[in-house]
Amino acid sequence: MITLEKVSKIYPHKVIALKDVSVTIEAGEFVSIVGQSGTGKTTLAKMIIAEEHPNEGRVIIGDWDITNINRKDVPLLRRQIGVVFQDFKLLPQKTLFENVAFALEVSGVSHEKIKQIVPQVLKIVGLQHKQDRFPREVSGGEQQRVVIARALVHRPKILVADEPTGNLDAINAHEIVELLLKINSFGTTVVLVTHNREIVNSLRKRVLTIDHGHLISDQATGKYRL
Amino acid sequence: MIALQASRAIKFAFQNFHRNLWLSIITFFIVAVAVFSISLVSALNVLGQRALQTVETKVDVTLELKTEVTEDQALAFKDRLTQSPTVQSVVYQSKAQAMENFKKVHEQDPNIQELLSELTSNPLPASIIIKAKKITDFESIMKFVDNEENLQLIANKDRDFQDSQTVIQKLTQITHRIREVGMVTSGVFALLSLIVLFNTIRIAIYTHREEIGIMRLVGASNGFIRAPFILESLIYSIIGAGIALGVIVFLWQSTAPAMYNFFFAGTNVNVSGILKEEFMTVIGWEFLGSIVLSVLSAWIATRRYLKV
Ligand SMILES: Nc1ncnc2c1ncn2[C@@H]1O[C@H](COP(=O)(O)OP(=O)(O)OP(=O)(O)O)[C@@H](O)[C@H]1O
Ligand SMILES: [Mg+2]
Repeated sequence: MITLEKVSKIYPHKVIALKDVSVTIEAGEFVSIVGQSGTGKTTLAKMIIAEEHPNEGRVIIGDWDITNINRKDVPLLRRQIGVVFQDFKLLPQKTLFENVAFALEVSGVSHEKIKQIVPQVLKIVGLQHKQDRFPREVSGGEQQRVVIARALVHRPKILVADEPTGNLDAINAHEIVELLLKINSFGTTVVLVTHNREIVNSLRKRVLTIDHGHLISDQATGKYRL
Repeated sequence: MIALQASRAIKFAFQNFHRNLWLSIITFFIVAVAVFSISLVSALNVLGQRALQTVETKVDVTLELKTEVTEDQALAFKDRLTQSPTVQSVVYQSKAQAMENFKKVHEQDPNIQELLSELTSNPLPASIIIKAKKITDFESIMKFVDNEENLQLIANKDRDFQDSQTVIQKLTQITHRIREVGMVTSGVFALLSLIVLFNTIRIAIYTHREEIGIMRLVGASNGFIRAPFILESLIYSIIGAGIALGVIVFLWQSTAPAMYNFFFAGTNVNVSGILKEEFMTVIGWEFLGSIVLSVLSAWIATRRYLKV
């Protein structure tokens, strides 16, 4: 489903974010990516959604080589991958419903379809009853669940979540992970980037550890090392 | 799907105005002022040009012929003049025609009518009336008239074209001046509104960076992300230019009588007619021009700041 072949990424000023990373993630897997700050985890996640392009190596999603993807094809890719990124929170002036609907609106989905899909995904994250509230009127954990709902509107085969539990307390973080597991159980491949040791250890799923741009371990039912 | 996308893009574009209300108002204002001043200059130019034409067409030279000149001689003279490429038209007016015109002009005056009825012969001379293609051509035409063969036929020359010539030279200078100043001011204003539009779009993009980021992540096409900003700029130019041009047309119509007195007193020029025949085309081009420029500046701004 996701294949990285000897991928290296060097940012300007000779910052080596990734070096010779090769990994294959199968359809339906749940993979955690861990590592210290600044070791290239977000960079790896960005490779998968063609937000960054490797200097060397190849990135293949399904049977689509996106290494040198055409700019105008990127939106097509994005509609097949759900993304949860720290930088992209909810829009404060829109209700939860509108926030989720926004993702569909901007990709040309009809009004009828929107009215059908949004309640469905809000139900998956358990927030259907709060759909008319504004982000400031719900908790941080609930906001993050809406962000995940928004990532699900295109029924993606892959969900990439970069630090989805970042600012949440243990209970809320746990709820988010439960939600990701539920989404994974529907057949969606989940790539989770996280710092959270307890979460990784409790998951008992595959763990990739990155250190200074190198993939230093790949365990089938991993523990947070380091 | 296209209609749906378009309506959503329009919706987003209008939200943009709302979000930066003051900036939007200032942008409208600058665009309107720019288009207004460009129009004002071109209006003056159109009027000046027309005034010049009017004066030029009014100028003619009348050559009174000696009494002994036969009609054949006169017509031969007329033919010689007509052949000159600088001559616009030559009219031969016989003694009889001259009398008729005179009678007509003084129809209402019983004293003159009485006087005329007492005349036994026609005292009015035949004449030749010349119009030049350009006022400056009279010089050479008069040289030709002044050659010996022609001079024998002529009793009297009305040379008042020389006064007209100085008037026209002044007018020409003024219209050239208007055009020069106009070109510079128009250029400055066009540039100014381009910069303001560019900056407004840049700020709009900045204000919407979160939405844009989300749009990208969820797979909105580049065209869709870009369209609202181009539309926004388009709306600025359509409304801004629309207001300015509306005001210009209104001013033109409401000052038409004053402009008539100033530029065209004593002629049959119809100032409102100039608006319809000539100035509307100018306005049309201005409108089109401002639309093209606004799209262009939004195009560059989005290309630069959206990295599409
Ligand atoms: N756009 C960029 N330009 C230059 N350097 C960058 C850029 N993005 C990231 N880097 C650098 O690349 C390295 C890897 O960054 P990355 O964001 O992938 O780390 P990370 O593992 O996600 O860290 P964290 O856990 O703190 O989020 C860092 O040294 C970072 O400073
Ligand atoms: Mg990161």
